[in-house]
Amino acid sequence: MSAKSTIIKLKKSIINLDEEAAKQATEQIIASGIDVKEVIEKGITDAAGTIGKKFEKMEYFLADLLIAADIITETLDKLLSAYPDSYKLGKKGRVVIATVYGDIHDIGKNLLAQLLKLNGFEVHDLGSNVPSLQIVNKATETNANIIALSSLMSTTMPSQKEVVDMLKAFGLRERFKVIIGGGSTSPEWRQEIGADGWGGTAWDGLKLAQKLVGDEG
Amino acid sequence: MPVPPWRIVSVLQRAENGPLILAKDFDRRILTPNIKRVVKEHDIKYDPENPVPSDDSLAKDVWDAGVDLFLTVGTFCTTTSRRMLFTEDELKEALWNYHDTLEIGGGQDRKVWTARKVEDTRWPGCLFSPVGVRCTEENFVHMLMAYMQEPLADGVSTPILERVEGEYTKTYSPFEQQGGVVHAQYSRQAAVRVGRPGIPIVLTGTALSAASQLASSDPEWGARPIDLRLVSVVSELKIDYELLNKALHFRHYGGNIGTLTGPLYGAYAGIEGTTVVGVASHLQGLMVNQGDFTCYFPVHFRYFNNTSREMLWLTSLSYQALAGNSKLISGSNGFAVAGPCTEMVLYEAGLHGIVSAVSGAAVLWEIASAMNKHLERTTPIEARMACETGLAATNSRLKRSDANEIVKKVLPKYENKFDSPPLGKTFPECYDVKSLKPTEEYMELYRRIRREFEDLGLKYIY
Repeated sequence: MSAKSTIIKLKKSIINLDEEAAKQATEQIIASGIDVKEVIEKGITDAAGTIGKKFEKMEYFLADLLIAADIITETLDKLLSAYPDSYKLGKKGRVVIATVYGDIHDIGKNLLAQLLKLNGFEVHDLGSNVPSLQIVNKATETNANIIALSSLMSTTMPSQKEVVDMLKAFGLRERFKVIIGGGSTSPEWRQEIGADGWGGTAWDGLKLAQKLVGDEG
Repeated sequence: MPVPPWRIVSVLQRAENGPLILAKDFDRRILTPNIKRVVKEHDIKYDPENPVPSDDSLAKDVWDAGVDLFLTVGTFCTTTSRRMLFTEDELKEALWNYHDTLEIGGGQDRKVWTARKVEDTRWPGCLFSPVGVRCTEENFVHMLMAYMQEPLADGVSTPILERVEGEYTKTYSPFEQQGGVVHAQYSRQAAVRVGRPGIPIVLTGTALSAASQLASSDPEWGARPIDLRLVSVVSELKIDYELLNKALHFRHYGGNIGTLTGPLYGAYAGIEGTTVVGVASHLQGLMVNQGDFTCYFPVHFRYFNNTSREMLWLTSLSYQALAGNSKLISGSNGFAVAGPCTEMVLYEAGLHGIVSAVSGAAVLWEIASAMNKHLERTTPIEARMACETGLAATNSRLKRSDANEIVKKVLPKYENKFDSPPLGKTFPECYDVKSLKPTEEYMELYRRIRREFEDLGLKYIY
C-alpha cells in the first residue's frame, strides 16, 4: 500500500469513527515510516475538517465528536511517540472553557470543546457549575488566550458577567478574550457585560475562537 | 388528582446503588449507540413532505423504541455517576397506576386536565406561559396580570425576575433565594389583582437551586400545593441531586410535580432519534422525576425552537406515540423564533397549537417567543394565538391529514427566516402595561392572521 493510500485509509477511518481501522492505519504508518508531517496535515487535519462540516450539517452529533477527538488524540500520541522529533504540534490557541456557576447544562459547552480540540486548540474543560474565581485562576495558570463561558439558564447568565468583572478588577482583562454562549444569552447580553464575542451555536463559537486567534480556519 | 409517587425510596436508592459509569462513557457508549440502534431496529424515518404524519404504526414504533431506549439506557445521575435502571415490569406498574386526570388550582380557578388521544374531540387544557424570559421587577406583576387575565388560561407560567433589590438573582447567591421569595409573592399578588386567587401558577422560575425552591414554598404567601412545580430532565436522560432534592421536597409538600424536558435535536441525535428520546424522557419523568405531568419542549439545537418542519414532525409523532400508548398527561410547550408583534410568531404559534392539539397533547403550553432569550420579549397574544388555534383545530374535528395540509401551506411563509428572524417588540411596546391592554397594532395583526387560518378551514370557537 502506498503512503498516499495509507493516509487516505487513516483519514477515512477517522471520518467514519472507526477506532479499530484507525489503529491499524496508524500502525502501518509507523511501520512504513511515512512522513508524519504529511500524515498530520493531509490525513488528520483534513479528517477533523470533514467531521466539523458533518456536525454543522447535523449529520454528526456530540458523541461522534467525542469519539473523533479520542481517535485523533490516540493517533497523534502514537505517531509522536514513535517519531518524537518528526513534527512539532503547534496549537492554534489555548482555551479555558466552562459552564458557569449554578448551571449544569453542558451540551453546548461540550460540543464547542470537542470542535476546538478537533481544530487544533488546546482545551482546558473545567466542566459545568464552575465558580467564577476557579475559571479566572485556571485561565491565569494556563496562560489561556480565550475564556469560553456557557450558560443556558437566565439566572446563571450573571455569572458570565461576574467572570468579566473579576478579570477587570484583577487587572487581567486585557490578557484574555472572553466569549460567551448558551440558550439564554444574546448579542445584547455580550455587549452589556463587555465580553469579546457571542456565539449562537457551538459552530459559531469555533469560528469566533479562530477569528480571535487570527486563524480563520 | 395527583398520582401517588412510584416507589420513591426505591428510585432514590438507585441514584446511590446503580451501576457506576463515567459521564463520557454514558454518552458515548450507552446513550448514543442505543439511540441509533432503536431508530434502526424500529425503522423510524423522517418524512419532510408530511410534517404531520398519519401513520399509526409509525407512532407505535416510536413508542416501542422509546420504551426500549429508556429500559436499556436508564437515567444517568450526574452527581453519583450512576445509572438508574428499571425493569419492564416496574415501568408497566407505574404506567398502569398513573392517573388519567390531574386536578390543578383551587376554588373557582380549579381545573382538571385529562389525558387525550390522537385526533381527540375533547378539549386540550391551556397554559399560558412567558416561559422563563427575563423580566424587570418594574413590569413583573403587570406582565403576569396580563397573562392571568386571559380567560383561556387554566394556569400560567411565570417569567424570571431578573433583579431584586437592584441585584441580579444569580443562581446560588442569596439574591437567588430573595428573588425566589419575591417572585412567588408577586405571582400571588398578580393572581389576586385579576380576581383569580386560585389560578395554578408554575413556580418558582427564579429559584433554580433546590434550596431556593424550598424557600419559596409557603401556602400563605408563596408556592402552594395547588401550584405547579417542575423538575427537569437534564438532556438527555440525566438527573442530579439538586433535581432529586426538588422532587423530594415537592412530594413532601404535596401537590403537582411536572417533568420539564426539552430534548435537543442536533445535540445527541438526528430528528428521528430525538423523537424517540422525547418519549423516553416522558418515561424518565414518570419513573425518576416523580412527575404528575410533563412540560415537553423539544427544541432545535441551532434555533432553539420547535416550529420548523422537522420539529413539528417530531412534536406530532412523539405526541401520537404517547397518546396512543399511554395516559401520560403532557403539555406541548411551543418555542418560536420570531418575537411579539410579527406575522411570523403568529404563524409559528398557530401551527404549534394545531399540531399539538390534533396529535393528542393533553395541554397546550404556549409559547416562548424570540427564542426565549430577550428581555421582556413575550406577550400573552402569542399564547392566545396558539391556544385559540389549537382549540379551533379540535373544534373543527381536524384529522392529522387535514392538519398536515394546513401546516404545508403555512410553513413556507416563515421557514426560510430562521437565520435572521424578526425579533418584534417587547411587552411594554405591545401593551399599555398599566391598563393591561394590547396595542391596536398588534390586535389588528392578530385578527388578520386568525382570518388567514379561518380561510384554511379552521373554525374558531369564538
